[in-house]
Amino acid sequence: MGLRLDTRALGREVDRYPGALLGHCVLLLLVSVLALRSASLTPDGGSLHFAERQLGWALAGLGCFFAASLVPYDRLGRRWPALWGLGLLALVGVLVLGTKVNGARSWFSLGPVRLQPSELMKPLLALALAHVAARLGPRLATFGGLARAALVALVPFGLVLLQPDLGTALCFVPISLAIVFAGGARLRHLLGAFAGALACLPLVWCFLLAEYQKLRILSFLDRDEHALGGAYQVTQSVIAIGSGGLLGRGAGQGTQGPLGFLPERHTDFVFAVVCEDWGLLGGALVLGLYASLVALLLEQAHRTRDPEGRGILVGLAAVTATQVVVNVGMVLGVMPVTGIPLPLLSYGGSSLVASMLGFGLAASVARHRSRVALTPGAPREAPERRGTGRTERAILGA
Amino acid sequence: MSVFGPPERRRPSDALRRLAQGASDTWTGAWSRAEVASERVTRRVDDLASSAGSACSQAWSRAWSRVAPPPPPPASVRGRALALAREVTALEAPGRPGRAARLKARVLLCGLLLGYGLLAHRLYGLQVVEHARWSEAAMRQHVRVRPVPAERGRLLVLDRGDPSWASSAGPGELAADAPGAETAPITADAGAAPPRGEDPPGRLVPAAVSLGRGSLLVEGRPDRGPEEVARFVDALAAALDPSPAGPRAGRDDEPLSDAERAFVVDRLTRGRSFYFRRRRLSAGALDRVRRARLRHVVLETDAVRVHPFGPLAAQVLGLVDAHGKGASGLEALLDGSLAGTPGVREVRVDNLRRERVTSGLRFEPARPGHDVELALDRTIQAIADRELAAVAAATSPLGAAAVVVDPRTGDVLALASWPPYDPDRLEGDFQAALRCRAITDTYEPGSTIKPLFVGTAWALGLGDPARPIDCPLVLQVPGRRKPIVDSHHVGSVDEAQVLVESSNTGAYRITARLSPEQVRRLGDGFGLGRRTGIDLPGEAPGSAGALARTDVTTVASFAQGYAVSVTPLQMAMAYAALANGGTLLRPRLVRALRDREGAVVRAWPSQAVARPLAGDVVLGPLRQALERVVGDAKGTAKRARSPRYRIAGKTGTTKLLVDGRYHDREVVASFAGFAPAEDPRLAFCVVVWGPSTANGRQWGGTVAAPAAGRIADQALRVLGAPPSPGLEAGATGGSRTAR
Repeated sequence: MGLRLDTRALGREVDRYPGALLGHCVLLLLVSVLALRSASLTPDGGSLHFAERQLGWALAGLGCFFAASLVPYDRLGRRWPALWGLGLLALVGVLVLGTKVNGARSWFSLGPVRLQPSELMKPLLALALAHVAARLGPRLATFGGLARAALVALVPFGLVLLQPDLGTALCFVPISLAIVFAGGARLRHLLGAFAGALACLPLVWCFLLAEYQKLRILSFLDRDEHALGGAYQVTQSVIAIGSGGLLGRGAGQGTQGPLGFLPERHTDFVFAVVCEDWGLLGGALVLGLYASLVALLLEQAHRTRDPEGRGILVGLAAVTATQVVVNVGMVLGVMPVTGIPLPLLSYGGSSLVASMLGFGLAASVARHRSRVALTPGAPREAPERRGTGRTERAILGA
Repeated sequence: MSVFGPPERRRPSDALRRLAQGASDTWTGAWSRAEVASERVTRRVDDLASSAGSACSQAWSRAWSRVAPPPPPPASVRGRALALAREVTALEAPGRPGRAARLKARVLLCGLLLGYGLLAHRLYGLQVVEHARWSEAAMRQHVRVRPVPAERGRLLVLDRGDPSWASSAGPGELAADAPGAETAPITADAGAAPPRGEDPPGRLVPAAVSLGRGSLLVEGRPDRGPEEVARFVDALAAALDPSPAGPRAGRDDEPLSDAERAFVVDRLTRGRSFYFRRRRLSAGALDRVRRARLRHVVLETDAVRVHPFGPLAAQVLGLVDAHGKGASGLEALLDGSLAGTPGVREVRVDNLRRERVTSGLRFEPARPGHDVELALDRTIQAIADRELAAVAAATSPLGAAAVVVDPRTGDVLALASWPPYDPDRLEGDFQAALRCRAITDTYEPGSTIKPLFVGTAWALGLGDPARPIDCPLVLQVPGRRKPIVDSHHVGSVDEAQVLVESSNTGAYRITARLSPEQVRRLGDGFGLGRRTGIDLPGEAPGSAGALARTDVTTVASFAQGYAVSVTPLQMAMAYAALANGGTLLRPRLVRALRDREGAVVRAWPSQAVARPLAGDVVLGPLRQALERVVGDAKGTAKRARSPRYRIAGKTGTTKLLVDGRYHDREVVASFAGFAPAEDPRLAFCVVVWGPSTANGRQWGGTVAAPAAGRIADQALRVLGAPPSPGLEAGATGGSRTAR
């Protein structure tokens, strides 16, 4: 019986496999394809273009999820300088070779597909920062250690800001904050950094923000004044959501989307399509799925003893939660407009694949954490492993 | 339980059982392993499902409730101290979340919960609490209420067929292929409409009808190349070119002009979005454009008022404005009945305000307006139009009017005005032609008033047609500065000859026998200087105010038809009273309102206004005298003679009033009468203002009477009246050419 299946081993695998995480992802991808089917409708009938492409990306994303989940995260973590460096290289490259879309040079055009390296930087940053934070250990509680960790985050942050893509850059902030916070950074250091950032706000307003971004914030503060100008998008999305009602108008039966009133309905405002088609029921379900997903990540983090794995999970949970809150808040008109997509739901290959890679990484943590934990102090007490290169030494100050 | 049942149950037969027992060693092992695996898989699936279904609450509660297992009791003091230090600094061993870690987790969770709670609250607020408000906002954006235009009612005239001899060209050419002529005819006496006497029945044909004509809308797009633009313009020009379909295919179709072509090319090349409107496309052009399948061309149909007979009775029918509302004539007067009630249509529009699918939205159809049945006879009106045009061509007057009425009912059979205009092609200086001169323009009736006085005198016994009377050339009236002068010396004749030769002095002598009260009642009874009440806006009353002032001077002026002003219609109605035995009727232009199916909604009966004279005089001596005006060798209206019918009437020539002063040379020539004299079926009045005097002086007998005679002759043939006794039906020449 050479082909005899080791069911016991398979059962262990299945046991350890974070099925709930996968289930959430699959459900959200399903919602995404259905919502994009509605969003593809145009006054002229429209096509299934977005839905079909998103389905393809979803399959690719699932592949990435499995691939990432099979690789032990700690091995990846040890190679973080290479991965992080590759990410930075891509970010520099996109500034030179990238294509400009909507005013930001953040895309590589590769034939029919476009890649957004800043999206892929999100899971990479979580991986790198978690590793660094774990290696820093107690030193993270000092300002110097925190500053070193911050360096890992600030370099890609600055590069993305140069594109300029403020929304994606801001996504790096919750990842970093959550990882260093969970890793043992002191609250007062973080608060100090926050106060510093706050102090810089006037400078940011004057020098960093483009005119349209200022208008977005102004129109958020006074929506009625800018109902047809800066707040047009939000006004339309609020109308679409409000007219959805309790049970919605039915898939594809909405008016604001198919008649073309709702702008960006397949990307940033896809949640409005969900709410118009499926009403409060659908909207609450999607919100619940996200909340449950984040809670799941946090719960896994809670179970994980290895600080590196925990950092990854917390970072991913934070970025997912932030993106959802900021995006849905924008769609609901309680936050200013920022170009942050809804993870897994918004149309876009890079964002979807990056998110699925991140969740695959989380699955990898869930699968491999016991082995890592059983190797006592492995990440921490082996500083002279081959993964420790010049970059790492420089950052860790070893 | 496993999805696979126990192996034994599956083998009921012995043979199978033996087979199974033979292979039991391997099978049992495989089954048990498979069962274990499948149970695990099912459990995982169950877990997956439950965690997916209630993941939120489960995960949250687990996250909240899960407290790390209490650390094992420290063995020593050193160990206890270490544990305490770890807890305080949160730098504990991995996987042992202490108080600080728990606090951090709670902070994160609280933040998360707060965020999602706020979002959920906002979602509830928008979708449940404010649902009505936002639904309405959505409706305001994508639902537009559009009116459904009601089809405007038609103006129907009577068509008694097209006699072959009357088919010559003229302003009222009978365009059989004119648009709208094909619409279903209605028998004239269908329903409860007032009967038309013994006149031949006809059918009702539309003289004004609203047709859906197409308009073309070219939507400019910025994404066209020069070749595409050129191709588009060529296709558009080909579709609009009317030449292949024949000259009469669409009266309003015109090929794309060079200027229009340049405009379209310019806009399309520059990528500007624009609208190019072409109104009044005929059905043929509409069809060609539709078949050309041009992109970005929107075809719309809107109602255009079309007049199948062109200028025929245009002043009576009137015009509609650009919004389809009646602006003049009957269109204005009967706008309420013609307009109908517009419906309501809700349409869905997209963000560029383009209309989209409209199913499931409110639709109320429009109710069409009523058709109006007119008394006008299409052929008689055309004849009157043509004769006026002939008079105008010969004498180039300031204006002319002709009225033909039925003396028995007051039906207005023709109401013609010169100059005419074509309501479908308003161009040049058409303003003066809009006036329906038969009711808006007044004149002093002159000698045509004489039969009224003379007849009244005879009826009152104050004279007799056979009694001799002396008519001097000049008669000095005491108290009057200017003497009464005749155009030629009539001398001693009988009283009837006063009318025949139109003697002013004789007429005055007869009129002077009447008392002032009698004169006043006479003017009143014949409706002089008073609106007739015809169904047309803008009727002038004329003036008979001087009739109350009955001094010698005024009576002398009356006798010659001065000091009183009337409209041609008033005069025609007065002669209709002479023709029907003394009853003044209200002119009837609108006979009935009909609905779409032709059923009569409302009908107007014939209406008598006054009875100024008793029948015996009017039908006897006065009629004979008026017949002699036309038939006598010395009669002033001998050029009105007809070879078939005896025509009775009186000419009139007055000085033209220009700015309140009499022109010393220009005149108003008129003729009023009725025919056939023995059994009048028509009364008519022809008035020509200011005929050219280049070829000598003009008189009513030279200008108006011939036209009136020809109108009466042809109109009677249209009505199928038998020739008057003593006159040969086929007789040619006769008085029409004789002087």
